[in-house]
Amino acid sequence: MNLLEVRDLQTHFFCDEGVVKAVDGVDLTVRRGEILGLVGETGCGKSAIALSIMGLLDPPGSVVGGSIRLGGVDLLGLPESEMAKIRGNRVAMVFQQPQSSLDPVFKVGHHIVEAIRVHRAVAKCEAWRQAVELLREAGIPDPERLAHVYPHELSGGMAQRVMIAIALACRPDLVIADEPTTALDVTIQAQILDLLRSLRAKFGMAVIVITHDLGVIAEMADRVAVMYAGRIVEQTDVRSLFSEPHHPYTQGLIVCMPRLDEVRARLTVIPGAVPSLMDIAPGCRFASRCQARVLHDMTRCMEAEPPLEAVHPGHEVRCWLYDRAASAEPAHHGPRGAGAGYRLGLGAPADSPANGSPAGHMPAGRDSIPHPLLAVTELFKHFSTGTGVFRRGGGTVRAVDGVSFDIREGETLALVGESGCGKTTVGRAILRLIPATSGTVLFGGRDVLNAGTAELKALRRQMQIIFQDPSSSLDPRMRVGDSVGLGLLVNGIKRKERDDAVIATLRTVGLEPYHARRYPRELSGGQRQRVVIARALALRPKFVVCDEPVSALDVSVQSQILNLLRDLQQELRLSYLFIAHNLSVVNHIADRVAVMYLGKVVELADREELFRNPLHPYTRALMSSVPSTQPSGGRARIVLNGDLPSQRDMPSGCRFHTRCPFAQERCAKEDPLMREVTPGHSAACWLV
Amino acid sequence: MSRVRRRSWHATAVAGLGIFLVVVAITVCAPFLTHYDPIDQVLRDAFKPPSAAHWLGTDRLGRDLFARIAYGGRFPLAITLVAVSVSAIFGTLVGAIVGRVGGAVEEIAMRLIDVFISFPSILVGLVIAALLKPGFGTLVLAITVTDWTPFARLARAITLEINTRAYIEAASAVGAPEPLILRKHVLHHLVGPVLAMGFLRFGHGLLTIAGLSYLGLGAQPPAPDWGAMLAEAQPYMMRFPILVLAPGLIIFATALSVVLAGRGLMLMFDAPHGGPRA
Repeated sequence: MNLLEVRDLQTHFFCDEGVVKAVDGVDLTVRRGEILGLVGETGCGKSAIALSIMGLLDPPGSVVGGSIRLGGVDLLGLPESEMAKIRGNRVAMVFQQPQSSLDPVFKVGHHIVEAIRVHRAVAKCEAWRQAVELLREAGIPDPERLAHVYPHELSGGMAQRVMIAIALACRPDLVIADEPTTALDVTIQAQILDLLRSLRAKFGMAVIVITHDLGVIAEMADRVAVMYAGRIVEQTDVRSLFSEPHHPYTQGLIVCMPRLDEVRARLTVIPGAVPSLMDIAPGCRFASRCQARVLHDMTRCMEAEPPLEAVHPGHEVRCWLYDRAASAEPAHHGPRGAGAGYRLGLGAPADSPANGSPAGHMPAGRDSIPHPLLAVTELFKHFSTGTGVFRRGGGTVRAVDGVSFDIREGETLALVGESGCGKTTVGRAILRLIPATSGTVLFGGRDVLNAGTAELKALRRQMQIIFQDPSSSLDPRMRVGDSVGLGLLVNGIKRKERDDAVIATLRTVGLEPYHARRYPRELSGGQRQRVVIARALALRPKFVVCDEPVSALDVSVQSQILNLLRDLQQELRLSYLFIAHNLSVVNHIADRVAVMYLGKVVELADREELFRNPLHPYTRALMSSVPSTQPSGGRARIVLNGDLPSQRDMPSGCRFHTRCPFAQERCAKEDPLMREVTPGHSAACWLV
Repeated sequence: MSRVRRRSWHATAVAGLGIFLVVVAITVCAPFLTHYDPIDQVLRDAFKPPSAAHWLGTDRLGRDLFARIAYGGRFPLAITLVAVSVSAIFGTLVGAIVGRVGGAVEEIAMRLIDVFISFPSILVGLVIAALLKPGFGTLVLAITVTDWTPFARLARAITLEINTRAYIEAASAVGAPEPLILRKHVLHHLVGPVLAMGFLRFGHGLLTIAGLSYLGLGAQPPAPDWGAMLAEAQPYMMRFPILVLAPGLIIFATALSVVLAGRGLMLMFDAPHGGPRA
């Protein structure tokens, strides 16, 4: 039986610049107890659907057409007073940012008590008892105590558990989870996904999971709807979506994802970016980016939009390629045949003979290079916390606590870890953007940390950085060309030469000369990240710190940038320190991988070796936390318990022992040192 | 999502700027608006009510009131303009520099600013104006001494926010020296908010000048000046209220207009446009 039926939903945003048709005729059904995954990139209208169902759209957004029926009642026809009785009671929502969704002045327990008492006539003490019970069900340890805690004392993962407890307060029929794990670390994400699944099994509520991450979908959903530019382009059960994706966009999304279980020399990309939803061209919305259209020379796609039609029972696709009535298509291009015909990039891409071997681009005689380009030895960075001139009452945060590694010429070393493990600090300290507490950094044999002003300036020409968030790393008031050319200006390059160099660099990263005159806000996220890369490359460096360069980008753009970084590395013989939290991205780009936990490197090995034979329990847990793209369901995984401990009061002995499933007595007392287990593969653990 | 947004003018700013420009136009174009000399005494015409010949009537010495209002704005407006500009430039530079330098320098500078702020500006102005010879330079100094502090605080606050942006790190990473970072990345973002603050402080400065003139420390007789006119007219306030109302209202209107303009500009620069907020 259908719990929720959405028919021809139209949600528009009336902005100064025009009408944004965020949701443009969407049909959805959710059965009781079902998990529906709603997947799509930024700005495709996923969240607008959720807010429409909840009746939480604020101006300038409004629902202009269609119907939303929950158990037969049309929610759009209800007055606000009636809607308020349904919201939080029969339909509840879990948001992306749990910390900002909780009111800082109320205790955790009060949030739940309020959620219960709005809809149920329950005495306060009884509601509190229920709240504690809900917290326990949401997997919060010691719920009696935690109910008395204020939201700011919670970690992100804990706060999300509280949000889930609030959502479940009235035993709703439907929970909408909008990017529930996007703001969380992978090991925490795995915990939350596990929790949502087990709660569904226990209470039988239906769940709509909204996400941009196909991995989350594969782990969670029963059925999937893929959205593109305000429309659903494919809808089917999760297994057939991954085994037989039909729509070229879905195929592209699946194929362009970097994966843990497969290495390709180049990621397949979906060219371009999501179109503006303001003025929509006639025809299929994906046509301009669709390679299948080009391959099959389809003219229809530009003229008329295909309807959402079933290719098999229960598998609906919005694409002309599967149009049964079409006489233009040869018979063997029927649904199944066509699906296999342009399964983009799953076979060997023509331009990469070294398919499957990422080592193909590495310098041939890597071991013959005696000196590493960059050698970091015993790097420490401690921050003192506290307030006022005299910094009273603060402790010491040991962000980086004795990190050593080296990077050879043309090599990529990935530094992996969860947020707060100090990986970003390492990158900053190497470049002397923040002063290190102690340690040495040798770049080409020169001491970076003790270099004088002139020497540092010379070194900086060779060591550059690419930032995570391109929107904050470019000055909004500065033209792109000036941002890219700043380093040249600093080094006294004359105007004319500088302009030429800027244009040449922009071309290298795949931008056009006219982009130099633009302001950052006029560019898309992917283009901005290209500008950030261009700025780093303008000085022709040898070594670049890439600090999470793709984690703020959409999946389809992410693969474009990763390919670009690899191409540039080969072309310019760059060495990268690639800082990331995403192991699948690392698997795609790194030659060697260092895993960091709470300020220390716990494992360091060649990429292949590390992924084949992870030694440290933390590395193994990280790997098993990555959502796979195979909807297998029953995959054995190591879910770490608890959160990252605070760096202010570091666990004794091995700092991982508090979360380690294999911890022994010795681990709590003595700190293991890095030990080379096999040549080139070292780990810091008593068990290896 | 990239969205090109043209900044639209805020209604408050338009109203404020409109009134202010009218006042400025009256003082600048005074010779074309009236043929009377503001210091010409015609004693038999003293205390004339408003008429076609004298639009606002005459004062106790038979001087045309409209002419005195029109010319009388030149002195306070000019002083305030110079004083606020000097304060804005000095305060902004101090704020931006200490915001970038940080550490003990910043801490000391900000406590010094707190000390300056704790002096009432009219009192400081009085002391300076009384110690030095009354005149243009003295009054500019009297205003500037206390008036640069709000600019310094504003500039520092914005600079601290800019410090956290990754583009500052990127600039350091290419080896950009501090003055270049200040010029390229910091001062750019300060122009708008400082301009808005300038208008707000202009109103304040004008009132301080009017006060000092009222106390006899501003323009010296017989030169026309709004504040001094108030003081002169005070004995006749009951019988000839227009003598007080005219200079009083024009001071009020001017101060109000710049405050409105400043408030409106501030709201405009506060609007979401990707830059830092004031």
